[in-house]
Amino acid sequence: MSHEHPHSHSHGHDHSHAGHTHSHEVDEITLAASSDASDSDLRPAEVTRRNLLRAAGIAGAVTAGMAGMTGVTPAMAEAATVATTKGGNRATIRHWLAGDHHIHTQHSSDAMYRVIDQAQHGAAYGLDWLVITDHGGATHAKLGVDLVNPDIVAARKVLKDTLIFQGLEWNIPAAEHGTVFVAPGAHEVAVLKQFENDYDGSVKGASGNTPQNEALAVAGIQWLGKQVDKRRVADALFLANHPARNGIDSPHEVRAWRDADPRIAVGWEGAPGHQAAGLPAGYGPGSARGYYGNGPGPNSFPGYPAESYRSWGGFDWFTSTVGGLWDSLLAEGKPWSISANSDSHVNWGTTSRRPDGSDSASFNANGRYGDPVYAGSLNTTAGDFWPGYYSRTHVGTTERSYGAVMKGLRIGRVWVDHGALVKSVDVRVVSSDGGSESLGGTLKAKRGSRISLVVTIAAQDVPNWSQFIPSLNRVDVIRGAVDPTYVTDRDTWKAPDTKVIEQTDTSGRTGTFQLRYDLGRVEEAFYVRVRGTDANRSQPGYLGASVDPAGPAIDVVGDADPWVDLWFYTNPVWVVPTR
Amino acid sequence: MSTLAVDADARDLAAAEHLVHRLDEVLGADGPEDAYVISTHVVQEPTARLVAVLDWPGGPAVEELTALLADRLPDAYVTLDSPAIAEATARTAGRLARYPGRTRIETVTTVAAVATDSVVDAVEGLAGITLAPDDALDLTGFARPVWREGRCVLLVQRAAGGLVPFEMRHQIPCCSDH
Repeated sequence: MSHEHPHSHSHGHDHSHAGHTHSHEVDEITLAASSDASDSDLRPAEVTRRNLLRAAGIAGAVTAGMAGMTGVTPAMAEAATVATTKGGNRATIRHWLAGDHHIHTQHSSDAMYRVIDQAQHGAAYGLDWLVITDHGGATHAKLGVDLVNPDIVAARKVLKDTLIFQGLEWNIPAAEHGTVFVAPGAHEVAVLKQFENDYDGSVKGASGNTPQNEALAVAGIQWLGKQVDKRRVADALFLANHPARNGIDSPHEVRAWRDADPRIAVGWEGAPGHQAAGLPAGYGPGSARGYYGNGPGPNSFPGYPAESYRSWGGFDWFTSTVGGLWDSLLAEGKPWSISANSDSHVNWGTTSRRPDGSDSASFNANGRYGDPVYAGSLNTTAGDFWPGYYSRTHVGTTERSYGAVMKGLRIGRVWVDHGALVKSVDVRVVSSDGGSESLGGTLKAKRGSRISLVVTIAAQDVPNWSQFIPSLNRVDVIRGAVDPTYVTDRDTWKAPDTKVIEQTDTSGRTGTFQLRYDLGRVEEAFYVRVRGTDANRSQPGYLGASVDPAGPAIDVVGDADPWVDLWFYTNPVWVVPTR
Repeated sequence: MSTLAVDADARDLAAAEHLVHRLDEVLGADGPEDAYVISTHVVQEPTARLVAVLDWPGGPAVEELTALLADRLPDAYVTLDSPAIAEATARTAGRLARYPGRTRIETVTTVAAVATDSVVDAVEGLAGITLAPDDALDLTGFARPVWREGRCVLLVQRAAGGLVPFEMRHQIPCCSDH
C-alpha cells in the first residue's frame, strides 16, 4: 500500500540550506572525510583530521550524503551565528513508506516462516519495506546468514514493489538485541557475516555486563561505519530492539552506541513486537504484551524502576515515559529515532507449524527449519502479528528505494503507529522568520522569532486488519528544553524540563485536518514531538501527572488486547535560536 | 548466628531459584519451617550474577555449615566474604526466596494478611495501583519480596486474574520458543 500524498503546500524552506556557502575549512574537511581516498593517500595532517572526523562520526558522511539528524550540537546551542554545516539532504517528502525492521524466519531457532511467507504477508498488509532479522548466533553465523540470502533475492523478484533488506538481529554485547541491516549489494552477506562473527554477543560469548563487552558493542558499530566508508556496502544502520524489556540497556550504553557512529546507530524500537502476547488466555497467549513480563536480573541497570519492565500502551517505557530516557537523549540534542515492528516469529492465529523432524538438532545441522506445513488447527498461543498487520514504521522519503528508506530513517523522518490509528501525520515547525522543518529536522530560527507547530492529520477512513476504522480521539504535544551539556552523568534517564504542553480532543474529526499550536518566541533551544491515541486507556505518566496527565497506561499481564489501545508517536523536531 | 554466602554463578533468576532449591535439600526438609532465611543479591564483580545469602540463627556453627555446603554443593563457592552478606545484613537490597511466613502467604490471601502472616512489612502496587487492606492477592506458590531501606516490600501488579506478584515465577526467556 502506497501512502503517497502529494503536498500542495510549499516545502520551499526545505531547501533553505541550498545557498549555504562553504568555507575553506569545510573543503579540507570534505577532503579528509572523502571515502574515495584511502589513509595512505593522505598527508599525515589529513590522516589526523580524518581520525578526528571518524571519532566524531563524520568521516564518509560529507561525501556520501550520509548526514542524518543533527539534533542540537553544543556549537548550535551557543548560537552565535548559523556557522554549522547543514544537517542533511532535506528534500521534499514524496512518499511515506511503511515498514518493519524486525522480522524472523525459519533461520531463527525460535521462528518458523519462509522469507516469502513473511514478505508476501507484509506486502499484502501494506508494507513498502521490511528487514529480515534472524537471530545472530553460532548456527546463523555459520549457515543461516548465507542460506537466507537467496531466499531474500528471490522474494525481491516476486514482490517487485516491496523493498526487502537483509539484516540480522544482533545480540548486542553486554546488552539487548538490535537490528543491524545493510543496503543490498554485492557484499551484503559478507559484511553481515563478518560483523556477526566478530561482534555478536552470542557468537563471542560476550553477553555479560562488563566494560570489555560494552566496548565490543561500540567497536561493532564503528566497524559497520567503516564498511560504509570503504563502500563495501552503500549503507548500514543499527536500531536497538525491545530496549527496556529486561533493563539491560543502561543509559550510558545507549549513549555510547549513538556516539560510536551516529550515522549507524540511529534509534530503537519505540514499540516492541509481540503485540499479541498479552491477549487473554484462551483467546491468546495470556502473557505480557510485547513479552515484557520480567523483573530485574543480575545484568539489569539498577537505576530503572520496576515499572520499566512492562510496556505502556504497547510502547517501551524508554519511549512511553514523557521525560524518560528517550526525552533525556533528545534534551541533550542527540538525534534518536523510534520504530514499531512485528518481531514476528510465530503469529497469533497461524494455521501452520514447523514440519515433523524440525527439532533443534536439525536446525543446528541445517541452519534452518524445514518449510512450515499446514497445521489443521489454529495457534492462539503465539504472541506475534504478521509484519504490517498491527505495527508500522512510516519513513518519509524522496523516492521509493533502498537507499531512500535508510536515509529517511537516518534523517529521522519517522512516525509510528499501531492498528492503523491514522492514515497520515505530517509535523512541521514553522518560524515567523520564514523557516520550516519537519520530523527529525532542526529548525534554525532567529532569536525571538515566533514558532508554530502545525500538525496535519489524515484521519483513518479505511478499516484496519481487525476490520474496524480506528478513531483518533486525542493528540498530545510534548516539549522539552535542549541543553547539550545538561547530562553530566551518562546514566541519566530523565529530562527534567520535558512535559506534555497541549492535549487536543480530536474525536469525531474526519478527513484531513490541521492542528496549529503557538510555541511562543524562541529564546532557547527546544524540541517538540507529537503523540496521539484512541484514548481508550490512559493514566498519569511514570513521572507524574504534572509531566503527563494522561499518558499510556501500563499494560496488564495476561489481559492486554492491543486493538483497543492504539497510539501513534512521531519523532521530534528541534528548534535552535540564532542571531 | 550463621550467615554466609553461596555463589553458584547464577546468571538469572531461574538459576538463583535452582540454587535455593538445592540449599533446601541440603539444609533439611525436616527442620521447622521458617528456620532460615535465604535472600539473593546481585554481585557485579567480576561477572554479574546472583549470590544467595543464608541466614540461619539457630543453625549449626558457621564452620560446620560451610563444610556441609562445600561437601554437598561442590560446584558452589561458600564464603563469609561477599558484598552480598553486607547487603543482606543491612537489608538495603536483595530478594527473599525463603523467609518467615512464606508458605502461609504463598496462596490466595489479602494485603493485610500478608503483613500479619509473614516478614513482609508492606505490599506495594506497581505503577500507582492503590491497595486496600482487604484486596485479594493471588500469591499461589510464589512470592519474592525484596529488601528496601530496611523494610521487606512485596511489589504486586495487575494481571488477568487480579493482583499477582510483580516478579513472576516463570521469567520469559529470550530467543526461545515463546
